[in-house]
Amino acid sequence: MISNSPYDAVSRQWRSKIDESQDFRVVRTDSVFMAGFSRPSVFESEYRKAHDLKTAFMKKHEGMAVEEVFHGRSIYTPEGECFEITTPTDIRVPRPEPELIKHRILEDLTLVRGIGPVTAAELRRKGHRTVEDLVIHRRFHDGAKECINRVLDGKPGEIVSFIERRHSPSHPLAILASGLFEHDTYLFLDLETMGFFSRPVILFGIASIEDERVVVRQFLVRGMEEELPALYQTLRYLQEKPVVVSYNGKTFDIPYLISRSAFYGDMMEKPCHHIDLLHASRRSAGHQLQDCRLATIEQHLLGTSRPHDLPGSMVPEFYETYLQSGNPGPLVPIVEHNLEDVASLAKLLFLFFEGPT
Amino acid sequence: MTVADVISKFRNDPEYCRQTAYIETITARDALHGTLTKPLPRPLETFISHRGLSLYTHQCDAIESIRDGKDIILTTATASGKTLAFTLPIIERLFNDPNATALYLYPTKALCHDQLKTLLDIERLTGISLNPAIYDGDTPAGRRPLIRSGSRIVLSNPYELHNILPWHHQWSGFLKNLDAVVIDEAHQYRGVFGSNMAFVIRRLRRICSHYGNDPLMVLSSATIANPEEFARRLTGKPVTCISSDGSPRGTKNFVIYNPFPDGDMSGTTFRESGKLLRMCMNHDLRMLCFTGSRKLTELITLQVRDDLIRKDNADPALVSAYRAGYLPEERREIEDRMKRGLLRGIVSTNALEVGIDVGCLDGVIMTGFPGTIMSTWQQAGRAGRTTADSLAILVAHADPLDQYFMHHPEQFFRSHHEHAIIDLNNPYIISGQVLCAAAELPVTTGNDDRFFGKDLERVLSSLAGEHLLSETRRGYIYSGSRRPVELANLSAISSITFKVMCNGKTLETMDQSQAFREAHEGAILYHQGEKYQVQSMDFDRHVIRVERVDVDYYTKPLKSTEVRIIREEKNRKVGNSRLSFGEVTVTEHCTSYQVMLYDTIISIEPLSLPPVTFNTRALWFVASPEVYSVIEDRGLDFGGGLHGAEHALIAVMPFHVMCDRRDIGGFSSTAFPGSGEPMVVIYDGFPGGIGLAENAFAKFEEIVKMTTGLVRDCRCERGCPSCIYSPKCGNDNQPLDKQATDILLESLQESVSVEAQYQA
Repeated sequence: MISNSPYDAVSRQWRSKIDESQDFRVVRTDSVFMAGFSRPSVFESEYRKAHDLKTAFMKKHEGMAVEEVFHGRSIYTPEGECFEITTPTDIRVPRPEPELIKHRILEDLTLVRGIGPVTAAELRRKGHRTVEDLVIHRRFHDGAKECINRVLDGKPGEIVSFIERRHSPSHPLAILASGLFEHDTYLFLDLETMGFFSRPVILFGIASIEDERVVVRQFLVRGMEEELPALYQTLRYLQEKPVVVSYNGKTFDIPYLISRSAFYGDMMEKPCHHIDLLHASRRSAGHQLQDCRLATIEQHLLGTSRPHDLPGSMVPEFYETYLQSGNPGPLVPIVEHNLEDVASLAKLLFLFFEGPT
Repeated sequence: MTVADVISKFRNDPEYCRQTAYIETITARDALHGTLTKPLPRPLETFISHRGLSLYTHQCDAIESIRDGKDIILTTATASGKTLAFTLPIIERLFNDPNATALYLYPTKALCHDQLKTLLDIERLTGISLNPAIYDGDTPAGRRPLIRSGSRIVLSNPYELHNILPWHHQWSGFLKNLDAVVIDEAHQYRGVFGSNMAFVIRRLRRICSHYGNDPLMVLSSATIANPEEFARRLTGKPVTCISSDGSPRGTKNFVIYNPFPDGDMSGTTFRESGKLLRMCMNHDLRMLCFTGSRKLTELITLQVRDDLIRKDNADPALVSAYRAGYLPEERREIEDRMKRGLLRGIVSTNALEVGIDVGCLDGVIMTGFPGTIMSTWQQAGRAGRTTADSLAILVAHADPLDQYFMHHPEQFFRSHHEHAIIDLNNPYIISGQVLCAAAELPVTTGNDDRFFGKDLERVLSSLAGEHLLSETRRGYIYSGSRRPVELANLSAISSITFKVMCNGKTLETMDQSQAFREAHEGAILYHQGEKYQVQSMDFDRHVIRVERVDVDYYTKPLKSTEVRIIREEKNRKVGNSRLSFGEVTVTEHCTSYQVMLYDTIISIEPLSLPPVTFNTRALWFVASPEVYSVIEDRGLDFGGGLHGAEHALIAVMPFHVMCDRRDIGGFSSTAFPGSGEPMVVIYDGFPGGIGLAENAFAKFEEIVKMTTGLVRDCRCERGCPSCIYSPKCGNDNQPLDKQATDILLESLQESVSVEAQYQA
């Protein structure tokens, strides 16, 4: 490198500007009253704990290579090499009967054109339990027949869109109907990034169902030159498995992939089907919780907790430590955090399949 | 009553004629009309005839050039129909190509609003579908996608453009078809702000080129000395200048007015300005009064309102303050009231200099020299938008530069328009802009040095060394964790905005540096003539809480500055001293403030504000031991001499290196921290420097000569605001010694022995 370049001093100045500031605010003394501003906030105790965690992992993995810490393999793509970590899980994959799902869909009388909640309650009171009971109804028979045709004869995607249009994409029935898709078309997706947009993705976490088992694949970016191949690899899965399952992915993960593709000069289309569990979770539990972070929802709905979880907003800082030190230690909590997030997506979806909570 | 009546007052009325230093009459000029080689599309021709317009020569020139696909800069006078000159041919292009789009950039949000009205009018009257829309920080999220996909003319500002470039994929349709980029009020983009803007435009052009496009650059500017060079530096393309003005002009009377005639210091600039404003308003003239600061704007408004009630028994609502920081609705209302004639006078900071339409004005008052000849003419041009006679009055400050013009008014009218500086080699600016670019599309040396210069490779490798960029197959990509557009601000002004709140309502907004300066705890703030006291300043949430108060006093912060020299880059001998140029660190700290009643200090209160530190470039010189002994032997104050020389040099520098006095800082000490030597340092007030001190280093002899003349010609005995007093001194103009200053400045001129000269 050229020494004494006037640019070196400037570069150092940018670096210290970044190191001095964070994209999140640390809430002193864990006051919940102080939390909840526009910037993501991290409680002071969490922040301290995370730092201890980083130090501990750095000590443990000092002098090691990424490949020695993670059991992964190199993948070769037309855009170059990337690193894949495959983790099979023991998450039980339910097998909802399509007939049963369709039956439960047809229990919703409001799917019929012209029937609102009030009319539906009235009809139920008069003994009309399902849409099928309405085919002989004087007023609603046409609507009922149309609805039955759509649900019984439609492809899964058409049925889901039909329900989404009548209700909303986060309606429990729409999530339930997505159980009609072939299992191997689901792609659970969660990204870890250097911040909110216009910065690289450093870990692409996806999961799919293979032989009735949920398998998590993580493309870990060991150096920034691997973002493009990892992106390429993720997009390939996205093409094969068109039903995306995410947590806030409609606002974050998918637009992020689109903007990173555009950054490298490619156009990416939105996925055909997208089940965003954030809205459904908020609908079913949000009012009881102080925030709607995946870990919080998970604790509430699944009863599991993560004692050593890394707050998502601290991922960039951990990754930067890795970049600057070369020590893979800080990557360990990132990869674990992401693994749990992706696995939780599957658990949450399956929970919604079982019915209203 | 007419302008002529007011002029005769300046000539003959004893109340005004003593202060009238000079009156220049600029003669009227007839219109020059031109013809086009082929007519504009019918809807546009209809629009022109509907408006009763006939195109001037420069408008025809602009239309033909844009038709030919030439990048242009228009530098004709204020109110010469520049907007129409470039908008007609752009709409013609949009008419001929139904997919084509255009981007209009204005330096402020307020100007966007004004131009939107014009474009909506044209759309309505021509029936050409343009869907013009403003896209800025105030645009609601819900409207944004619609504008991106549906508007053919988007109006925005550099800050917004800087922020949306990383989102180019959302604009791909617009950018693919972007036919022309209009950069209006281009002269605003000079200095640090302009150098950043030059790279923002290069980033835009780089992205357009990614989408296979190369839009036309259409610039409009006040008169500057170097339009072609400036436009080429700003856009990175060769640009044709259109400057011969075909618009008509009425007679303009330019009055140079000195509230301090013959060194009489009893008057004050702002009181005189207010008095003249009232006098003109009482003569039924529609007036605009410019001031250099928010506070002066409010003070003058307050005074004129008071006098309208007490002395004229008139409606105080005939005058209003108008300045940055007011909420948009409030500003719209003031503009509207002026246009409808409900207001007869507006007192404004330079927000109105840049073409906001408040209808026809008869006269303009400038409270103090605006800092540049270009701004002076721009402000003076606001009056007399018709062929009628108009008036411009320059009311001098007591400061040395203004007084110099008062003593040499003919030099003022002979002065050339300034050069607009754009520095494409400032490492801070390049480096920050490359960071931003690398978050938009990968940066490669082969492809992108045409935008970022021959040093790109060094910039990239240096940034990569700090892991801010990473090299990939596609080029260098940004790999930091903060948004680069946040790291690299467009101006030295911090992007943090404080809200001033009173009883839960937002009164106004101000940027951080202004807040530190004016809105510390205990400070008195003015808003539309009302006084407010700052109760608290919340650094975390950027909120300043104020309460209405009724007090007579005002407050003034005391700033302490410390400078440390990092390294000397070059030096040469001037007179008996060594003049150096290099890098320094400046730490500014407001530690206390004064409570003032009129001109008396009532008390000094402590403050606990965080210090502001930055690295910049500076020139400095060490006073020679001989000078020291000459000054000491005469029983003069050596420190007062250094301090006086610092002030006087800073006062003169803007004239030589085109900047505002506020862009430069100074520091002097008899025992400089570190070396212990008696030194004067003059530095650029921007992180990284912007070439001001460097330029002054080269022209130092010239500057010293003018400074010496200024100090000697001043008729005061012991120094005064006209020579060595500085209005922005952090040490309250103490110590100062005029004779010592003179000796010191002399020593910088002649390399003969000072001792010998003074012994003679």
